Amino acid sequence: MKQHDPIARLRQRAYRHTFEDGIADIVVGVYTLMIGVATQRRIFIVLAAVYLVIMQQAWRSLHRQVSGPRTGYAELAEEPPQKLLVGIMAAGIATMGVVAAATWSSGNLWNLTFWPNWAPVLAGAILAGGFLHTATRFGLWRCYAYTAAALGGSLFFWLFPFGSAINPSDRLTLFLFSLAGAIIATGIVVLVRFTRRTPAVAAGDANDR
Amino acid sequence: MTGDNDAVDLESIARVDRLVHEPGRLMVLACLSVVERADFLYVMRETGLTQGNLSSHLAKLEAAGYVAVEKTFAGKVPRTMLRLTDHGRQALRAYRDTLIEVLGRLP
Repeated sequence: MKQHDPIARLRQRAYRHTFEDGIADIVVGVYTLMIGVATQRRIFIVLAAVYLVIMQQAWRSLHRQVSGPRTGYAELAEEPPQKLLVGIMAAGIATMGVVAAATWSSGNLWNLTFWPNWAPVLAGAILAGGFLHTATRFGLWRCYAYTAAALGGSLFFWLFPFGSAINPSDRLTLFLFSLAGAIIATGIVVLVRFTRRTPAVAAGDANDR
Repeated sequence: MTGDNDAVDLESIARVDRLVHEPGRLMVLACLSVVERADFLYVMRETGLTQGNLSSHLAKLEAAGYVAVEKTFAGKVPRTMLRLTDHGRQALRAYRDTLIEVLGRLP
Protein backbone atom coordinates (compact mmCIF):
# COMPACT_ATOMS: atom_id res chain seq x y z
CA MET A 1 0.00 0.00 0.00
CA LYS A 2 1.33 3.44 -0.90
CA GLN A 3 2.30 5.45 2.18
CA HIS A 4 0.94 8.97 2.39
CA ASP A 5 3.25 11.39 4.17
CA PRO A 6 1.65 14.84 4.37
CA ILE A 7 4.73 16.42 6.01
CA ALA A 8 6.97 15.20 3.17
CA ARG A 9 4.47 16.60 0.66
CA LEU A 10 4.36 19.92 2.54
CA ARG A 11 8.15 20.07 2.42
CA GLN A 12 8.18 19.31 -1.30
CA ARG A 13 5.50 21.97 -1.91
CA ALA A 14 7.61 24.49 0.02
CA TYR A 15 10.64 23.67 -2.14
CA ARG A 16 8.60 23.79 -5.35
CA HIS A 17 7.20 27.15 -4.25
CA THR A 18 10.70 28.60 -4.52
CA PHE A 19 10.90 27.49 -8.17
CA GLU A 20 7.39 28.17 -9.43
CA ASP A 21 7.97 31.78 -10.54
CA GLY A 22 10.86 30.92 -12.90
CA ILE A 23 13.22 33.42 -11.24
CA ALA A 24 15.53 30.60 -10.10
CA ASP A 25 15.81 29.37 -13.71
CA ILE A 26 16.66 32.84 -15.01
CA VAL A 27 19.24 33.38 -12.28
CA VAL A 28 20.84 29.95 -12.87
CA GLY A 29 20.87 30.68 -16.61
CA VAL A 30 22.55 34.07 -16.14
CA TYR A 31 25.04 32.47 -13.75
CA THR A 32 25.86 29.80 -16.36
CA LEU A 33 26.29 32.57 -18.94
CA MET A 34 28.67 34.47 -16.65
CA ILE A 35 30.61 31.26 -15.99
CA GLY A 36 30.85 30.77 -19.75
CA VAL A 37 32.55 34.16 -20.04
CA ALA A 38 34.69 33.51 -16.95
CA THR A 39 36.15 30.28 -18.40
CA GLN A 40 38.25 32.51 -20.68
CA ARG A 41 39.97 34.06 -17.65
CA ARG A 42 42.65 32.70 -15.35
CA ILE A 43 40.74 33.66 -12.18
CA PHE A 44 37.82 31.49 -13.24
CA ILE A 45 37.31 29.80 -9.84
CA VAL A 46 37.37 33.12 -7.94
CA LEU A 47 34.87 34.67 -10.36
CA ALA A 48 32.60 31.61 -10.09
CA ALA A 49 32.51 31.94 -6.29
CA VAL A 50 31.89 35.72 -6.37
CA TYR A 51 29.15 35.36 -9.00
CA LEU A 52 27.49 32.63 -6.94
CA VAL A 53 27.12 34.93 -3.93
CA ILE A 54 25.85 37.82 -6.08
CA MET A 55 23.33 35.68 -7.94
CA GLN A 56 22.03 34.11 -4.73
CA GLN A 57 21.28 37.58 -3.33
CA ALA A 58 19.70 38.62 -6.63
CA TRP A 59 17.46 35.55 -6.67
CA ARG A 60 16.29 36.10 -3.08
CA SER A 61 15.39 39.72 -3.77
CA LEU A 62 13.65 39.09 -7.11
CA HIS A 63 11.78 36.03 -5.85
CA ARG A 64 10.50 38.02 -2.89
CA GLN A 65 9.30 40.86 -5.12
CA VAL A 66 7.60 38.61 -7.70
CA SER A 67 6.18 35.78 -5.58
CA GLY A 68 5.65 37.70 -2.33
CA PRO A 69 2.50 39.57 -3.40
CA ARG A 70 1.13 36.60 -5.38
CA THR A 71 1.70 33.32 -3.54
CA GLY A 72 3.41 34.53 -0.41
CA TYR A 73 6.97 34.12 0.71
CA ALA A 74 8.61 31.23 2.52
CA GLU A 75 12.21 30.76 3.54
CA LEU A 76 13.37 27.18 3.56
CA ALA A 77 15.37 25.79 6.44
CA GLU A 78 19.02 26.11 5.47
CA GLU A 79 20.32 22.59 5.17
CA PRO A 80 23.86 21.74 4.16
CA PRO A 81 23.33 20.63 0.54
CA GLN A 82 25.37 17.46 1.12
CA LYS A 83 23.41 15.28 -1.30
CA LEU A 84 23.67 17.94 -4.00
CA LEU A 85 27.43 18.25 -3.49
CA VAL A 86 27.84 14.45 -3.44
CA GLY A 87 25.81 14.19 -6.66
CA ILE A 88 27.89 16.89 -8.38
CA MET A 89 31.18 15.39 -7.19
CA ALA A 90 30.13 11.87 -8.21
CA ALA A 91 29.23 13.14 -11.69
CA GLY A 92 32.57 14.94 -11.97
CA ILE A 93 34.61 11.98 -10.71
CA ALA A 94 32.75 9.55 -13.00
CA THR A 95 33.52 11.79 -15.98
CA MET A 96 37.16 12.08 -14.98
CA GLY A 97 37.22 8.27 -14.77
CA VAL A 98 35.85 7.97 -18.29
CA VAL A 99 38.41 10.52 -19.54
CA ALA A 100 41.21 8.65 -17.75
CA ALA A 101 40.07 5.34 -19.29
CA ALA A 102 39.87 6.90 -22.76
CA THR A 103 43.28 8.57 -22.56
CA TRP A 104 44.85 5.48 -20.97
CA SER A 105 43.56 3.23 -23.76
CA SER A 106 45.26 5.51 -26.31
CA GLY A 107 48.51 5.45 -24.33
CA ASN A 108 48.25 9.13 -23.29
CA LEU A 109 46.98 8.94 -19.73
CA TRP A 110 45.95 12.45 -18.57
CA ASN A 111 47.32 14.08 -21.70
CA LEU A 112 46.11 17.59 -20.89
CA THR A 113 46.65 18.90 -24.41
CA PHE A 114 43.23 17.44 -25.18
CA TRP A 115 41.46 18.93 -22.16
CA PRO A 116 39.53 21.53 -24.21
CA ASN A 117 37.86 18.64 -26.03
CA TRP A 118 36.49 16.89 -22.99
CA ALA A 119 35.96 19.95 -20.78
CA PRO A 120 32.34 20.29 -22.02
CA VAL A 121 31.63 16.69 -20.94
CA LEU A 122 33.02 17.35 -17.48
CA ALA A 123 30.99 20.57 -17.14
CA GLY A 124 27.90 18.84 -18.56
CA ALA A 125 28.15 15.93 -16.13
CA ILE A 126 28.57 18.28 -13.15
CA LEU A 127 25.60 20.40 -14.21
CA ALA A 128 23.51 17.32 -14.96
CA GLY A 129 24.28 15.96 -11.47
CA GLY A 130 22.98 19.18 -9.89
CA PHE A 131 19.88 19.35 -12.09
CA LEU A 132 19.06 15.67 -11.56
CA HIS A 133 19.31 16.05 -7.79
CA THR A 134 16.95 19.04 -7.91
CA ALA A 135 14.56 17.22 -10.25
CA THR A 136 14.28 14.09 -8.13
CA ARG A 137 14.03 15.97 -4.85
CA PHE A 138 11.43 18.53 -5.92
CA GLY A 139 9.70 16.64 -8.75
CA LEU A 140 10.34 19.45 -11.25
CA TRP A 141 9.98 18.37 -14.90
CA ARG A 142 12.05 21.38 -16.03
CA CYS A 143 15.08 20.09 -14.17
CA TYR A 144 14.78 16.68 -15.88
CA ALA A 145 14.81 18.58 -19.19
CA TYR A 146 17.85 20.60 -18.06
CA THR A 147 19.60 17.33 -17.11
CA ALA A 148 19.00 15.92 -20.59
CA ALA A 149 20.07 19.23 -22.20
CA ALA A 150 23.28 19.34 -20.14
CA LEU A 151 24.23 15.77 -21.08
CA GLY A 152 23.15 16.02 -24.74
CA GLY A 153 24.72 19.45 -25.21
CA SER A 154 28.01 18.44 -23.62
CA LEU A 155 28.28 15.37 -25.89
CA PHE A 156 27.48 17.51 -28.94
CA PHE A 157 30.12 20.14 -28.14
CA TRP A 158 32.62 17.40 -27.35
CA LEU A 159 32.11 15.33 -30.51
CA PHE A 160 30.89 17.73 -33.22
CA PRO A 161 33.66 18.30 -35.80
CA PHE A 162 33.87 22.09 -35.77
CA GLY A 163 37.29 21.82 -37.39
CA SER A 164 39.21 25.08 -37.54
CA ALA A 165 35.99 27.11 -37.38
CA ILE A 166 36.44 27.60 -33.64
CA ASN A 167 39.25 27.44 -31.13
CA PRO A 168 39.06 24.09 -29.20
CA SER A 169 38.90 25.95 -25.90
CA ASP A 170 35.72 27.68 -27.10
CA ARG A 171 33.81 24.39 -27.02
CA LEU A 172 33.20 24.76 -23.29
CA THR A 173 32.18 28.41 -23.61
CA LEU A 174 29.78 27.66 -26.48
CA PHE A 175 28.27 24.76 -24.54
CA LEU A 176 27.67 26.93 -21.47
CA PHE A 177 26.22 29.76 -23.60
CA SER A 178 23.81 27.37 -25.34
CA LEU A 179 22.67 25.77 -22.10
CA ALA A 180 22.32 29.19 -20.43
CA GLY A 181 20.18 30.41 -23.33
CA ALA A 182 17.84 27.43 -23.04
CA ILE A 183 17.50 27.81 -19.26
CA ILE A 184 16.90 31.57 -19.42
CA ALA A 185 14.30 31.16 -22.19
CA THR A 186 12.47 28.50 -20.16
CA GLY A 187 12.64 30.69 -17.05
CA ILE A 188 11.15 33.66 -18.89
CA VAL A 189 8.26 31.52 -20.20
CA VAL A 190 7.59 30.20 -16.68
CA LEU A 191 7.79 33.73 -15.23
CA VAL A 192 5.33 35.16 -17.78
CA ARG A 193 2.87 32.30 -17.22
CA PHE A 194 3.21 32.65 -13.45
CA THR A 195 2.58 36.41 -13.41
CA ARG A 196 -0.39 36.05 -15.80
CA ARG A 197 -2.03 33.17 -13.95
CA THR A 198 -1.36 34.38 -10.43
CA PRO A 199 -2.50 37.94 -9.81
CA ALA A 200 -1.13 39.89 -6.89
CA VAL A 201 -3.23 39.85 -3.74
CA ALA A 202 -4.25 43.20 -2.25
CA ALA A 203 -1.93 44.12 0.60
CA GLY A 204 -4.81 44.23 3.09
CA ASP A 205 -5.89 40.69 2.25
CA ALA A 206 -2.40 39.27 2.51
CA ASN A 207 -1.67 40.16 6.10
CA ASP A 208 -2.72 39.51 9.61
CA ARG A 209 -5.38 41.94 10.79
CA MET B 1 -7.69 -4.69 37.39
CA THR B 2 -8.33 -4.60 33.67
CA GLY B 3 -10.64 -1.65 34.21
CA ASP B 4 -7.85 0.31 35.98
CA ASN B 5 -5.45 -0.31 33.09
CA ASP B 6 -8.07 0.86 30.60
CA ALA B 7 -8.56 4.03 32.64
CA VAL B 8 -4.82 4.69 32.55
CA ASP B 9 -4.76 4.21 28.74
CA LEU B 10 -7.68 6.57 28.28
CA GLU B 11 -5.98 9.21 30.41
CA SER B 12 -3.22 9.46 27.82
CA ILE B 13 -5.82 10.55 25.25
CA ALA B 14 -6.82 13.38 27.58
CA ARG B 15 -3.18 14.53 27.68
CA VAL B 16 -3.32 15.53 24.00
CA ASP B 17 -2.51 19.23 23.63
CA ARG B 18 -5.86 20.70 22.65
CA LEU B 19 -4.25 23.83 21.26
CA VAL B 20 -2.39 21.69 18.71
CA HIS B 21 -5.24 19.20 18.27
CA GLU B 22 -7.59 21.65 16.52
CA PRO B 23 -7.32 20.86 12.74
CA GLY B 24 -6.85 24.46 11.62
CA ARG B 25 -4.04 25.12 14.10
CA LEU B 26 -2.49 21.71 13.36
CA MET B 27 -2.35 22.67 9.67
CA VAL B 28 -0.66 25.98 10.51
CA LEU B 29 1.92 24.27 12.73
CA ALA B 30 2.59 21.52 10.17
CA CYS B 31 2.99 24.14 7.43
CA LEU B 32 5.45 26.20 9.49
CA SER B 33 7.36 23.09 10.61
CA VAL B 34 8.84 22.57 7.11
CA VAL B 35 10.04 26.14 6.54
CA GLU B 36 12.37 28.50 8.37
CA ARG B 37 9.71 31.23 8.25
CA ALA B 38 6.87 32.23 5.98
CA ASP B 39 4.55 35.17 5.49
CA PHE B 40 0.84 35.27 6.22
CA LEU B 41 -0.20 34.85 2.57
CA TYR B 42 1.89 31.71 2.11
CA VAL B 43 0.38 30.03 5.17
CA MET B 44 -3.13 31.17 4.16
CA ARG B 45 -2.71 29.60 0.70
CA GLU B 46 -1.13 26.39 1.95
CA THR B 47 -3.72 25.76 4.66
CA GLY B 48 -6.77 27.04 2.77
CA LEU B 49 -7.90 29.00 5.83
CA THR B 50 -9.61 32.36 5.47
CA GLN B 51 -7.84 35.52 6.60
CA GLY B 52 -10.01 35.88 9.70
CA ASN B 53 -9.75 32.22 10.61
CA LEU B 54 -5.98 32.19 10.26
CA SER B 55 -5.66 35.41 12.29
CA SER B 56 -7.72 33.87 15.06
CA HIS B 57 -5.65 30.68 15.16
CA LEU B 58 -2.40 32.64 15.03
CA ALA B 59 -3.46 34.77 17.97
CA LYS B 60 -3.90 31.63 20.09
CA LEU B 61 -0.68 30.03 18.87
CA GLU B 62 1.25 33.24 19.49
CA ALA B 63 -0.22 33.59 22.99
CA ALA B 64 0.95 30.03 23.77
CA GLY B 65 4.41 30.85 22.45
CA TYR B 66 4.15 28.25 19.67
CA VAL B 67 4.43 30.75 16.80
CA ALA B 68 6.39 34.00 16.60
CA VAL B 69 4.70 36.76 14.62
CA GLU B 70 6.86 39.54 13.22
CA LYS B 71 5.43 42.61 11.47
CA THR B 72 7.78 43.93 8.83
CA PHE B 73 7.61 46.13 5.75
CA ALA B 74 8.60 45.20 2.20
CA GLY B 75 9.01 48.74 0.91
CA LYS B 76 5.74 50.41 1.89
CA VAL B 77 3.80 47.16 1.98
CA PRO B 78 3.29 45.59 5.42
CA ARG B 79 4.22 41.94 5.77
CA THR B 80 3.46 39.52 8.57
CA MET B 81 6.19 36.91 8.95
CA LEU B 82 5.49 33.73 10.91
CA ARG B 83 7.92 31.31 12.49
CA LEU B 84 7.49 28.15 14.51
CA THR B 85 9.28 28.62 17.83
CA ASP B 86 11.31 25.90 19.55
CA HIS B 87 8.50 25.62 22.08
CA GLY B 88 6.00 25.16 19.23
CA ARG B 89 8.17 22.51 17.58
CA GLN B 90 8.42 20.63 20.88
CA ALA B 91 4.64 20.82 21.31
CA LEU B 92 4.09 19.46 17.80
CA ARG B 93 6.49 16.56 18.44
CA ALA B 94 4.89 15.82 21.79
CA TYR B 95 1.47 15.81 20.13
CA ARG B 96 2.72 13.36 17.48
CA ASP B 97 4.26 11.10 20.15
CA THR B 98 1.05 11.11 22.18
CA LEU B 99 -1.05 10.16 19.18
CA ILE B 100 1.36 7.35 18.29
CA GLU B 101 1.25 6.17 21.89
CA VAL B 102 -2.55 6.21 21.96
CA LEU B 103 -3.41 5.09 18.43
CA GLY B 104 -0.23 3.31 17.36
CA ARG B 105 -1.69 -0.15 18.06
CA LEU B 106 -5.11 0.54 16.60
CA PRO B 107 -6.22 -2.70 14.89
